[in-house]
Amino acid sequence: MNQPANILVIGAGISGIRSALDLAELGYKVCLLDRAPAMGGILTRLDRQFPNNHCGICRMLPMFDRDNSEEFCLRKGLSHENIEVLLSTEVIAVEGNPGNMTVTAVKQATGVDADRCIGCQECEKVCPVEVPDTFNAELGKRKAIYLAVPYQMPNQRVIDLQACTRCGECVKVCPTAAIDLERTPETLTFENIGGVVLASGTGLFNPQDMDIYGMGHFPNVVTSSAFERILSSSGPYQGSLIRPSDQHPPKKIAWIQCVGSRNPMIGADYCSSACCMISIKQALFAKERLGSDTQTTIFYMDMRTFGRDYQRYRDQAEKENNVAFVRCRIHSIEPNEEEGNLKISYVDHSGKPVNAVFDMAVLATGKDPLRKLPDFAAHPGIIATDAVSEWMDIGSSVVSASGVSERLARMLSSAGIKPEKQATAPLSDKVAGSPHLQVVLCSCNGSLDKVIEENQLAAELKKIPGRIDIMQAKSVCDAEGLDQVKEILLNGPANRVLFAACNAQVFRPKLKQLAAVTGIPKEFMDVVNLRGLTENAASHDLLGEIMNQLEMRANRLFRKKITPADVRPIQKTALVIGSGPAGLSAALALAAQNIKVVLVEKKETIGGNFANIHDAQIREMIGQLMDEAKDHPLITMHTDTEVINNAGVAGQFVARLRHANGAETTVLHGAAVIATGGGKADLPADTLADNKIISLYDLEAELNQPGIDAANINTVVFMQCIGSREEPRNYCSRICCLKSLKTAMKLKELNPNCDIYVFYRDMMTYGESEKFYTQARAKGIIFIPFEKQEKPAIKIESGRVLVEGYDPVLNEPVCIEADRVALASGLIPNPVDLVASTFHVETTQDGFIQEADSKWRPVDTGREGIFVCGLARGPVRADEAVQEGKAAGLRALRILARDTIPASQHSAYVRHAICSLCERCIAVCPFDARYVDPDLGRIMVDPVACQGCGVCAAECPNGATLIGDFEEYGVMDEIEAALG
Amino acid sequence: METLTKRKPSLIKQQAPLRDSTHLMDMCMACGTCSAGCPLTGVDGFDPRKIIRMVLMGRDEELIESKLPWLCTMCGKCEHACPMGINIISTIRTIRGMVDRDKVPGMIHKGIELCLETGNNIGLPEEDFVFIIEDVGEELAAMPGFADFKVPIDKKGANILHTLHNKLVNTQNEDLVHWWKIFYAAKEDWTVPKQNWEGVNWGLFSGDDEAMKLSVGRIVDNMDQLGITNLMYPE
Repeated sequence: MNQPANILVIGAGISGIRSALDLAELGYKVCLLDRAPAMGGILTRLDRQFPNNHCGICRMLPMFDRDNSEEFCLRKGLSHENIEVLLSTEVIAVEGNPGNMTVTAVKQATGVDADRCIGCQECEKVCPVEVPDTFNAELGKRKAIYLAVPYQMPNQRVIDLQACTRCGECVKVCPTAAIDLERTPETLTFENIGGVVLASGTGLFNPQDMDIYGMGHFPNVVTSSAFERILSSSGPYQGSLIRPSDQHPPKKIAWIQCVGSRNPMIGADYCSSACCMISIKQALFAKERLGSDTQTTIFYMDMRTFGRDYQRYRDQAEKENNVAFVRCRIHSIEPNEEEGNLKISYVDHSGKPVNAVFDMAVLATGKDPLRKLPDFAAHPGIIATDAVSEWMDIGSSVVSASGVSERLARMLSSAGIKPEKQATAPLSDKVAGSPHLQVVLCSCNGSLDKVIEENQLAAELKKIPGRIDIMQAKSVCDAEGLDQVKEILLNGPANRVLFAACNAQVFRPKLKQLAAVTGIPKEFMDVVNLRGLTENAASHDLLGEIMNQLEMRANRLFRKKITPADVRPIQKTALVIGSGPAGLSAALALAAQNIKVVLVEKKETIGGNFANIHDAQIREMIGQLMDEAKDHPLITMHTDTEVINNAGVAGQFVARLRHANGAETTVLHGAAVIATGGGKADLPADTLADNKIISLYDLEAELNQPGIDAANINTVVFMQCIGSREEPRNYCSRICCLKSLKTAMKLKELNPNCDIYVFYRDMMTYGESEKFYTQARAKGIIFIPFEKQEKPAIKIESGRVLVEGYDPVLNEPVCIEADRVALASGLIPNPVDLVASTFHVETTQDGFIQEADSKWRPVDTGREGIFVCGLARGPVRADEAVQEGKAAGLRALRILARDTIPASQHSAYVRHAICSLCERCIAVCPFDARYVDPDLGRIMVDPVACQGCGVCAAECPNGATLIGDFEEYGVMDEIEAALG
Repeated sequence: METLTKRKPSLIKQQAPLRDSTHLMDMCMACGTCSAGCPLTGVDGFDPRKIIRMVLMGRDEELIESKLPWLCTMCGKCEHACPMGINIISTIRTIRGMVDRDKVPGMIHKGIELCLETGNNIGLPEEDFVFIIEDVGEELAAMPGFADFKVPIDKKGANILHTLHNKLVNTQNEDLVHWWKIFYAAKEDWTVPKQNWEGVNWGLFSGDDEAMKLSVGRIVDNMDQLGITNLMYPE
């Protein structure tokens, strides 16, 4: 990295990566630290995630200005111009004030010099020390010198210095002299740091701390993260789903929920939020791997499927895949007589005891209650993501991380710290000249000489048509070797470079340095992994194979050309549709960064559901946003207004607004945020047969009237999930459980003698809101679960309102005479048809706006430049809507903070002369990057939205569409060489 | 089905001592941990979480009259895993304590009455007790290696006061010697009282705090009188 960092991000898990990328995309220099020897955090252990059962972390990579980052799997590693990744490094102290902080960190000695290690694995082969493989939940062994994550790139080894016996075998075989066992930890000082993001995660609960689960005693009791490793092809059993004791596939698997969560006895009065969905996913995978007759049982208290699409995921698992759900917390796991099997006792729905035997048990562990925040966490200038205090699913972590990025960016701009303009290194004049290739043959300190005769290779290379110079280097890993190459490139005639060296991923950062110094673009450089090829020593024609590879790359390099970048100026105005908490916070996030905002509100007043909110804290929060937005000089508000048209591409949109009086306004903008919100769902008219039966919202309003006398409200029944979590509205409305709890507690405050009953399906008090559930019970509120098919009934008998249900705890019917029955009717989105068609974004079957990816791009839509947040996207609490608004604002800011956006080299373009305008490419483009320009009569590509995937080129019947840098002449020459 | 209008406040809830002041009985989330672990769940309708729920619903009378509280063995397995720290055992004891003494099942209350009267649950007279333990002591002395063994009775200033389970002096005499052998081998200075030697406090099981207190008081008196500071109370 050329300039020192402006920002430190502590923790390189999902949140840290998201935040680092956000800030890097704004142009800040970021240093991303992690104390682990590999980045990725918990995600490195998860192959596929709910609810789509794929991975998709790469979707976090920049979608435009893509040439700034390497586009390879983000689980393997991260490479971005503005991000420096420092592993095995832990921050120990923070001093100073926001804008000018000094951070001290310790970089642990890993025994291996990362600049020299080429990942060749020779050391691992000779290391005599074997220890339990912590990456694979200790289900296998690894060496003392090892790869922290098996698929990490670059794949430099580290040494477990505690296990290492200092025998020195690795030192002897290392071809690049990268190992130094005597190295000591190094103290690093970062000065002039503007701000720090704390994204260090929460850690995972260790069930060995509890004696009831037999973890550590019974080999077939594993944690959910160990189960992920068992499922993984990079796991201890190469992806075979077998159980540890005898390596046989299990036929019956149990999942035990809330291990280490929802347990005040161990200091865990919280819900870990994601484990319910993780277990459903794992049960589905078990069935997929082992066959549908595999018995999978999930023992739970409340299945917390509170995400927008999660209830349907659960229903499908239950109905179509026969995953069994048993509502009973497990007391303990005992060994069964049969070898390795496990006995689990539970009580069924009618209270009958059942003894079941399983082959394997998976403990759904969440947040570690013992994990404490570092001492410096509260230091001014440090902003922590929610994921350091709560365990949460990926989508929530990503939203929270972007919210934190927004706060940090705001803090920096108010401290006057602006991202430095990127100085692009000037291209060397030679680049425009005709192709001249410099081949650099690295002998890897002579170790390759034993396998290949370099002179012979050089002689063969000369036979390739085209101008080629050949240089033989002892080693290009070290500064000396690399300097020689620089020298030749600066002074010689070559304008393209091909290294015959080692692993390209390891080598690539060096290419960047080289490009900066020599003015030859890194796209004009390539690497052939000579070492990798020589490892296949069985090959009968090693020289032939090497030559084949080299010739392919050489041919491709000869054909490289510089495409002048399509640079698009940015219209630095944002359009925000909707003025609820989400829209307001998005608008304020942008205005704080000096972006003009046009805020459009369909209703007469701003604030969304403000009038219906009674919680004092939330009212204050939204009220403040409303006041700030009203007063902000950069925010123009249009109430009674709708957006009726929008055209253009990210950075350059034109929208038409129509006001209530029929007048229209045109707005030029660079990005839009859809925050059209939603509101309470109406109750079916027939449910309100008596004035004692009211909606939860109305009871809340009644109790919040000033001077309310609740003395006559003596028995109240709350009923959850009215219309929610079943078709046609088969999603959790997310706010009702907490609202019922808060309302019930308010009632208890007003009238402590009031008897309160809550009929619920699954209490959705995820995360820290579990504490409200605990407190509500402590106040004497009785909770009675019911299943969808046996809902409690409300009867009216001679003026008395009776609620008849069944209490599975007592195994008895129950009938309660109530003074009030409060029905939790849930949330629905405001109609989005107009906004969806205007902005060409997809909607869900429930009428929410569909985001690009619920996990990795939760506030993006499928269209670049159009973002979504709050209730328009799915049910959220007001505080979550504010967070989403910040995240959406920040996503828009990536575009709006720039003056221009350069297109990536790997973007599609059209040869209009042979285009037949059949528009098939438009239909197949997954990024909505193509459109017809009716004036020009041409197919246009939005190179900002285009991700260079090539689907259009494959679809085009005429070969009219090409992908930059993958034109057929270069690719065909490469293929020619491969076949030749 | 009875219609619930107003819940009665539960005296059981008020009186049952908490395990910890922060873990109120109301906090029970009826999760089923106790029921899943209890070896008696399902036996004659027993279910610990059901008992807690009944208390919380104010159904004291029903519980006091039912057989349910007497089915529990007080093993404590339920509480061991309860995530909310609910006072299940003390709740069941409290219910038992509220039952009329003549309705206490089996011989427990009779045993308590006998104990209060005679100093042991089986009403064994002092001379019979002394005869039995001396007799067993002589049998032990006849075994090789225990030549000079003698049961020390009411020995002042001994290191340990040893109480006995009534069944050891009643039907299972042969089990008395196991401890004595250990004492002998360890050269322990111990003694057994000839009065109030009962080592089983059935007040624990019947929920009779008063009786428990009296029995414990007698052991303390014995210790005071003999000048002994260590008690071995094997039940």
